[in-house]
Amino acid sequence: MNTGTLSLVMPSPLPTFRAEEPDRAFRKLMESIFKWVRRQSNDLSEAYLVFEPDGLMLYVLSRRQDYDFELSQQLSEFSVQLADQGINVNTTLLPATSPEELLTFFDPRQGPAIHIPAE
Amino acid sequence: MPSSHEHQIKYQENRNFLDLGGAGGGPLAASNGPWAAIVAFYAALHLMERLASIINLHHMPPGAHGQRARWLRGHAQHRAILSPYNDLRTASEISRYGTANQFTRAYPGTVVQDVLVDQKLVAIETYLNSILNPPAPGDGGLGGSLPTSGS
Repeated sequence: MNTGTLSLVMPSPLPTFRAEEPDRAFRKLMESIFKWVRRQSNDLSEAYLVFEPDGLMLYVLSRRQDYDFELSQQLSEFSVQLADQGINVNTTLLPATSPEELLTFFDPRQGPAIHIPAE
Repeated sequence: MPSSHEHQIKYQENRNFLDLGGAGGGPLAASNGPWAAIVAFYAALHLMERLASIINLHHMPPGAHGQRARWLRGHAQHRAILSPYNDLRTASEISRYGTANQFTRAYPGTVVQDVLVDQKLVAIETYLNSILNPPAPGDGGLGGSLPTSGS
């Protein structure tokens, strides 16, 4: 999955998100997230933008096993910057976690998610 | 829907449990960190809802957590407590939904009491106190009835 480029975890027969034709706001959002993730790549390994019933959720996976309160602060500040641009994204920072443990928070099989590797 | 006063009562119940619900009447975090993280989050949640109820706003399920975070992010002042709120929410979710060792790896030792309760929850309590009980001009900044520590 870690291809170094944007990849969609998109099980059929769920609705298709046409990543090649995002509207301006979504393009802006993805650019902002990619930049932020790359900037924090020393501290995080990957992120997932998940389409949840009550809105977008950005899950960020830390490189540390323990909860990184400093990175959490930066992630909250990033979400506030997005809100100031009119883009609302909920955020959750997770400590380094196995794929099985990640499933306790979201399941890509239940809906579309965009994988954003840090490197 | 609960009133501001009712949220304060619920907050206080959670806070009391956090402070005295552990073995021998001590802090809950000393005997059960995962449970303490959940209680700390719900204490914070009732403070948030107390704040929201000032403008007759009530975040209701489904989607209440997301609505609450969205409201905080978009509020020029209240966004100051978005980060501690997120920290408490995530700890509560790792406690409730995570695998057996996930919580203790994420919050080892005394992190639950020292950081989640004594820093993050206290930050929210202090902020609420400053909003609900602003210092009167010239009173030196003291005032308010909201406890800001676990003692």
